[in-house]
Amino acid sequence: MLGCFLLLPCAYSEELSNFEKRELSRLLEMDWTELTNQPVSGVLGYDQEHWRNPASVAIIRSDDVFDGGHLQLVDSFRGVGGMYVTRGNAYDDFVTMRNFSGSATEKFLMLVDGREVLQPMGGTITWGSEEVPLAILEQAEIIRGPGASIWGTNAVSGVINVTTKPASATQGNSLRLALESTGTFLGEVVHGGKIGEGEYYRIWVRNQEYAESDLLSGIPARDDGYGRKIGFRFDKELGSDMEFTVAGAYSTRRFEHVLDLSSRLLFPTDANFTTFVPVSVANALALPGVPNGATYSTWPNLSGTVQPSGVPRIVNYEELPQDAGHVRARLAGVTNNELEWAVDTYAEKYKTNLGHVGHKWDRDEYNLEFRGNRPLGDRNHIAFGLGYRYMEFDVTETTTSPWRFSTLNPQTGLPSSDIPILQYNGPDSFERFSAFFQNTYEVNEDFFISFGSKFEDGDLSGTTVQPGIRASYSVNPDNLLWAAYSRAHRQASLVERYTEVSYARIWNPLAFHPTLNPTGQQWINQSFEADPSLDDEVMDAYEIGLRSSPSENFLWELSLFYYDTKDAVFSGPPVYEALDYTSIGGEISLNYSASDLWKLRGNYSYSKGKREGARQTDFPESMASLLSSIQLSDDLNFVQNLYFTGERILPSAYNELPIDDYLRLDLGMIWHAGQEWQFGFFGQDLLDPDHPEGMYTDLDVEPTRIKRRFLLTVSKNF
Amino acid sequence: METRLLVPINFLGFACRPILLLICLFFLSANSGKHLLASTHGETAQVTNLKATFFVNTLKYVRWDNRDLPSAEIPIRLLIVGDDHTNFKSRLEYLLNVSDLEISGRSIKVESLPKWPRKDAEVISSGAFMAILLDSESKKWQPGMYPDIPGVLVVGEGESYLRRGLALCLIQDNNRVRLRVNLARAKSRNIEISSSLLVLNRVEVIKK
Repeated sequence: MLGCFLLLPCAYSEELSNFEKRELSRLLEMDWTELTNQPVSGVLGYDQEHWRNPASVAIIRSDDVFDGGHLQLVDSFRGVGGMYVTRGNAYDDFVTMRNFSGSATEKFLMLVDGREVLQPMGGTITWGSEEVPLAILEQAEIIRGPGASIWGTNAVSGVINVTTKPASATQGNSLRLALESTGTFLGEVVHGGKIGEGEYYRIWVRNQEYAESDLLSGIPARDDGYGRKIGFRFDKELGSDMEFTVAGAYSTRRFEHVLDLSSRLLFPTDANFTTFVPVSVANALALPGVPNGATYSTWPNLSGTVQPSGVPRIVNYEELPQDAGHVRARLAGVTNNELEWAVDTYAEKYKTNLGHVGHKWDRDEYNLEFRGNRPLGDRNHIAFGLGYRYMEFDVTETTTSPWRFSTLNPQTGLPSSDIPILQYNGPDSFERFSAFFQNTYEVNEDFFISFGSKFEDGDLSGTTVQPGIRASYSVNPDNLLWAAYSRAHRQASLVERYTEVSYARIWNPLAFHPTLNPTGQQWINQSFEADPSLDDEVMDAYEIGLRSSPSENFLWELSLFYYDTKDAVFSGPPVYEALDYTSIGGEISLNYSASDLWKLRGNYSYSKGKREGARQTDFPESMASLLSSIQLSDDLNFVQNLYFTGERILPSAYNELPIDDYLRLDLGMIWHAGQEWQFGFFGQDLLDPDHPEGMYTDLDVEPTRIKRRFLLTVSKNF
Repeated sequence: METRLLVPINFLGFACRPILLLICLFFLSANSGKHLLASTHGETAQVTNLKATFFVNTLKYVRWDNRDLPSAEIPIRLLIVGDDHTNFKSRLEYLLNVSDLEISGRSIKVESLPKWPRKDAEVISSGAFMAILLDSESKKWQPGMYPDIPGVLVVGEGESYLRRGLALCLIQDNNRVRLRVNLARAKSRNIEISSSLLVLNRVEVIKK
């Protein structure tokens, strides 16, 4: 019998595949709570083993943010293939994905703990308002490619799903301080505790003070200010299979924002009013009949010149306050028949005043959602859900001071000194109902297929059906092929659909005549109407990918996509246009552990977009990153991160700005002082004294100089 | 405000075609699943991954009396007993190797065993101090088979083992893996289970 113990060969001594080893390593890194929340089976692509994902997925964890020397989560997306991240000014970042957007609108869905954070008014994400302390960040999952069949409208070019840790995983005190050589400062404090058996809480504070930047033309950008946020979370275990969570946060930000009037006050250079120059240029050239700026007391003084056109600059700065608060609750559990369910609800209030354009709005939002999933037999796993959302808007338009001068309104035929830049003419409340169903079917151990659809009916997007199908196939233990087809919708923003934009005023230099030239010697307002007929953008997306792990230390992935979009909305003067758009491209990513001490991650992405057959130039076609971390000793890490961004053109009706390609090198040393403390010192953008990255398109706002800088960070773990 | 029906008016138009395709796929897959049931083991690799990781994590909360352990230079043997069709052994070996987990300075050596030895002496002579009884052994296992040796930890894969006197059981329940702990049984083998384990999520404590 002893022979049984000592001599018998193992009947199942087969080697694990490299994918399986990676999956085990991933599980091993989880804390107990994370591990216990891992489902045995789940919906393919969302909560199954990561290596089986039939999608291009990247995970950002708090270590990636700290080790990269990033102050904000959004900065860390620069290391993800297909993601294009730019810094506009001190407090504004812009993110686009897979060459599908080009404008300030983020045509992907972002969720923070299940709460949609895309602003329906402008179709943008206020990244700074959605930041959370790094210590509570569980992960940011970046799913490139449409995920509409589960996530729904606006999950067009991808989904960013940010989750925070449960309160039980953030017990004690945590601190993070960061000081940049520019003067920007960040402080985060988190405290977590236990109230009773199975009852945990945490509270936190985050404060970021933004230092002033310089504009491309060299003058101060007046973009200094602050973003402050407080939050809490309470978790209670209601028995072994039911949990209750209530959480909330309040954020307040104070900045100034600028509107450049230089190219919005125009002077005709021909009798037919077909070509124009800015009034400031006409003044400088002393063209006949130019109105004298000195007679307009509300106009700001000239300050420098606009880059790159060299036009004398007329700019107006106004306050841009943003206040937002939300409370969310979640009740989740698993029933005895393995139905995993969750009821989520949240209420949110968002107030902002875009003072530079005189556009103020309050939004109240209420959301209720039920989601469930369960195995069905041995080979199916179904997921389903229902949701309801209600939003209410209170919009106030004001005419900013520079525009308060007599101007003919062509719509009324009367002169007025009160023509706001934006005039919202839409409804003040919106509803949305949604439902989805998804089934993951295990054909065999190697072949999984997942299919389903989301159904939505809303005041904004109408009635939509958004199906999707994804499949993954293990060619052999170390190679996996996947493919997907999805149909996704993006709803036009409220500005695009319901807001009239007065984008310029033209001076008529001809002499007044009641019949021959009734508009003579007057300013004439130029505007374009919103387009309520702008319906959903509808995208058919085709994706294919290969994931390969030739050795335990090496994983590489190739993802290819083709997006075919009908009625894509392009904003900007003189009109909103719904045009057909195609985007084709791919990403290669690698993850390599050269040794136990040296780890490398790399990405290269290429994408090409065509609008009505014409090549798009507002997105860099090539981007790459190489992130390296070398462990010099037990407590010292040396990080080297290199990012390449191809050239692009910042579009504008008046002042296109070419952005040259740029290479960014960051170097950093991280010292782990015991289990709790970490110190980091980083040099960023070391190859270049400064360069521009991006700005709101079509608004002629000058980008700031992104400068070489140094960063000192300190953090204390729980 | 305009009210719309949730069911789209144009449901029979273009939009319904992909839905019809998906419905067909669903019924096809549901039926196919029934035909293929016989070929499945009923447990996926991911369950075993989770159970193996649970076990390795659990070991961090278990304390042995040094007097019960073999001498420091001898590795502690961990037996995987039963029909190991999901390769529990390799997964555990990998996890232990990656995590560098040791018990009081002793490494852990994982071995497969088709069935449980009949006598305690065989367990002692093997130097085994840990064993995981796989589901295939559950019908054969009787409480009297637990070796009367201090320090020996036997863990069962499945709920039935707990009723048959094991100290720890890894259970798949409601699409999750959880751990059940019989403190009295552990204590009777001179094994201490840390109280910090007992308060963790999805750990159920059996006091008798």
